Amino acid sequence: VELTQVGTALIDHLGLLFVPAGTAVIAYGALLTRDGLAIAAALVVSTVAAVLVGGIIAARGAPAEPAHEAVA
Amino acid sequence: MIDLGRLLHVQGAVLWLPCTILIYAASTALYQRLNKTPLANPTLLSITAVAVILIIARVPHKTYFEGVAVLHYLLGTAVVALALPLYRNAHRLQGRCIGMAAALIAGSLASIIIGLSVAILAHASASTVLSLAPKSATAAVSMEISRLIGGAPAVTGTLTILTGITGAIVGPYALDLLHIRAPEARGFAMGVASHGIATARAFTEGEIAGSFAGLGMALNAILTGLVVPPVVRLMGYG
Repeated sequence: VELTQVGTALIDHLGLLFVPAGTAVIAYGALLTRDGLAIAAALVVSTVAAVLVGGIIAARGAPAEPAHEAVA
Repeated sequence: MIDLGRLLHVQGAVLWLPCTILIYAASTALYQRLNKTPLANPTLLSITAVAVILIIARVPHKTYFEGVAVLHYLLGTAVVALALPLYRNAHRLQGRCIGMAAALIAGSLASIIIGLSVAILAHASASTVLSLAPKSATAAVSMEISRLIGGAPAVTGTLTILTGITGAIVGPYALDLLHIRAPEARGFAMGVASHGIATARAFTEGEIAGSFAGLGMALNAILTGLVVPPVVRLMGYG
């Protein structure tokens, strides 16, 4: 039970654990001025594409729903 | 004699942890208040607030990081803890394995190849292109891949976090747009594309989405390591 509680607490606050590494972005001002636009475009386009492609295929791969409408 | 500079430094180190937790608590409250709208991502809000404070107070990131390193090191533990909800939902994998495997391969390749192509077309420097390649894998893995292919691991670490935030924000909107509602598919796609930060978002949609995000993240950490080196070589880098 305790293991589950610790695990749940960690997962509930997973987003907090990325703050120390994420704030390192302030050290990359020069890089972001030079390549910022290319980086932003690459991140947004590739991430949307990956989520969509992955999502469509994963949803199609789902087991067939039980037929609600009986065919006569 | 009291060394004022040293005292401030020590106090700062003690202050950063509660300060970060408070900011995150406030960000989470705002996220909940706004009905978990992806745009109000608590990780993004917290990073922005802390970054503004560090810049105004002229505190180097290294000093801040030393004060909150414990949070960073808990990440590894948290990733292992993701096995618990996945174990509870393992039965949902039944009949989905082939679909998930196909989604993993397609999502991973799309992220790597499209990311590299856009960066190259937008004239990013070679170092940035290489550092960008493994960005969808979880940070510990992406930084290691970056080192192997001649990228800058620290830059990759930051780009990885930015990828996570991007996916946690645009992922849910993109999935809504296509009416993809199955939590297994939503979570898995977000975990593959945007590792832990999108997994955190998926858990706020529900435990099933979160579990599958954790699975997608773990599998893509492995696949990215296998795919990135040959793809980068094929594209004429490294």
